[in-house]
Amino acid sequence: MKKGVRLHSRVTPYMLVLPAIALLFIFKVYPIITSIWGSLYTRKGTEYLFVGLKNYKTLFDSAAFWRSLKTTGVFNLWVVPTQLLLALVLALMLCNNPRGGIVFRSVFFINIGISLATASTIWGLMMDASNGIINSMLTAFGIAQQPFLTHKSQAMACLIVICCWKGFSYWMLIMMSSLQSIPKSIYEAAKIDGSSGLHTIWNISLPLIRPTLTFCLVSCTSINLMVFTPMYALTNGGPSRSTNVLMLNAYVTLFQNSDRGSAYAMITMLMVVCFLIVSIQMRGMNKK
Amino acid sequence: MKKIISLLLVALLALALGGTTVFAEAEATTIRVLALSGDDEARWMAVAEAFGKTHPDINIELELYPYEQMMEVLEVKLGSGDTSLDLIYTNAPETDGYVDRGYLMPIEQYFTEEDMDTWVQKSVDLGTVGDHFYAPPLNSSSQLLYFNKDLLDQAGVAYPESAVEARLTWEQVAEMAQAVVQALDPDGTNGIWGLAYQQVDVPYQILALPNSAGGVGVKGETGLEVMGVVNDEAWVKAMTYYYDLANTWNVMPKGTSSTDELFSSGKLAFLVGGPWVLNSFDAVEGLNWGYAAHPYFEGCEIAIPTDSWHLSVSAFSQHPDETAELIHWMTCEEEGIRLCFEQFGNLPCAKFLLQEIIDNTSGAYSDFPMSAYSICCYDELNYSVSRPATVGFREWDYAMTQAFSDIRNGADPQETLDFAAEDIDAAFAKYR
Repeated sequence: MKKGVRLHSRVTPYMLVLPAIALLFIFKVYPIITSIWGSLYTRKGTEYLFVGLKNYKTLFDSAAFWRSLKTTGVFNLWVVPTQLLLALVLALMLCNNPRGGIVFRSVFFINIGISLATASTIWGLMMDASNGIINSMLTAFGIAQQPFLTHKSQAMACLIVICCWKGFSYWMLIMMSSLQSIPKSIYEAAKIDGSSGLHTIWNISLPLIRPTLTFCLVSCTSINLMVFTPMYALTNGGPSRSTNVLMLNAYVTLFQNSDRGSAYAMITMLMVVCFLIVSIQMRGMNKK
Repeated sequence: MKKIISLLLVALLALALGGTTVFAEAEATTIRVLALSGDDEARWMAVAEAFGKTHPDINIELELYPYEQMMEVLEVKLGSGDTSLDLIYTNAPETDGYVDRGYLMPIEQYFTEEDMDTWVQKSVDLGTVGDHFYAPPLNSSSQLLYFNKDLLDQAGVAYPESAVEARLTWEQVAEMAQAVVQALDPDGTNGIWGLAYQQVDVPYQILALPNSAGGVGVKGETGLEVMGVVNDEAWVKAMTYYYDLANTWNVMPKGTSSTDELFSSGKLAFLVGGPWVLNSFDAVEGLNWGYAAHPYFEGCEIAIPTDSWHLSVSAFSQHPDETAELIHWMTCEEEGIRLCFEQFGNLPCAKFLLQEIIDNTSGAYSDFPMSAYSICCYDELNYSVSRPATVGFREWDYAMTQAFSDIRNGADPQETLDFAAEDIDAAFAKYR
């Protein structure tokens, strides 16, 4: 092979991945470096001073930070399993093309096309404590009106419902395509061996879509750790800080309070938490 | 084919010439203004048109956002040293914070002593930080108690008197609101409400309650003390009243509602609001309404919300002279002052115009609803209480808005105020 051709064939793959690497660096790596770097500075008047890890110390001493972290944890402990279980059950039901399956599939896919901001606004109107349609329906059935998003005992549950409704169909779509890629011959062989129903799902379907389930679990967790749109649009972190997730806290610290150093420290901590959880999940899911 | 090419060339030439014309016009300096969207757009257009007649070399370009977004855009743009903005619409109590963050340019060199004497001293003080003057006042504000005459008639409740001497107490207003709701909507199915505030949960309006009860927003020389201040006895008394309106007496709506619309649609008996809605309420067909002076707590001080927007030059502006010229015209020159008062509908800060309204020299304030301005001006000069002057106003305002919202929606007042004090205190740590 000629030298020029050899060089060309060696360089071409790198050139092909260069745009992707560049975009990854610009939109992922650079902001992460900026956050970590920025978290080591604080504003004093018009100047930014290097303060080392002081922002982290302030953060760890702050009760508000730990409250936000706990709120983020509670939110994710409900949303991630609910979204994935709902998606899995519906994917298993719909992948066998049951009667009327197309209708149900279309209905379930509607929420993929709606942005989270739009969905939050619509749900917010429906759940309005004074004029919402849900309270009107409750009243019509003789049930007392509920405060929903305006009371700390219900606000988080309402946001979990909204996020589960908005998120499950995306994971369902991915799981369905994975389930449909399993060769029918495997199911037929299992049937001949006397396997059916839950036994088949547990021993054949789930192990075969394990990589997909791992992807869904990791993606779902990292996406929901960063969620703040419904909190921002509907509760602003209230009532009584009951929905003040870490991402919203960081947003408010940055854009409302103009405290860049503390906000970057929060974001960095959120990244660390996300990394730890995802690592544990991947180790768990990859165990044979 | 040749014809087509010729036509294309002619068209291109025409476009090029047109472009040059635009360019020639664009040689004038363009000032970029960050302002509120909605009704403010037309107001600023009117200002631009009038200013343009005497200043053809200065164009005004608007960048409009709703209130919350405008504040965030401002933080992002000025925080990153963006040079595209020239004129900053500054919420009066934010001036200290903006100066601390280096967002505003001192502009005392553009204003003579005579100019400074145009405005009431309170407004000058709000625009001054340390030894420098940053923000001349565009307008100030006051509040009124609007009432729906039809609802009061149906409930058999007498109208409040409009004279300032007959000012109602908050306790009386609550009783009247309860009477209306009990008479017209006892089971809450007709959507009739007794009392609401125009800016729901916003400290600008709600602060008047603790102020009347004897509370203050912040303490200390630097205005950074809040523990035991925003959760003291006066605040708890005021916020218990606010809690009771929505939770005990059920006369104030929870959740999110446009209270202006509630009042305009005849579903609200009392609305506490600014004079800028006088004309819009007057234009609503079939709305039978009146106004009275802003209430206070029985046996306590009269405290009326005040202050509004000031105008500043961005520290990163590329056109500070032209921007200051526009600000000077809007805030110091009679033509600009009168136009801004007419357009923005809020109280003027210029002493001559305030006196003119109080004296009613033009006769324009004799008839309903413009007669309400005389009450507003009287209250502004006698009972107005500004929001806290602190470098951390933004953090304070955010935490208190949250607290008011929580209390209105059923959270315990004392616990919520303690929570807010803790949060603000933590947020203020960086200023100490």
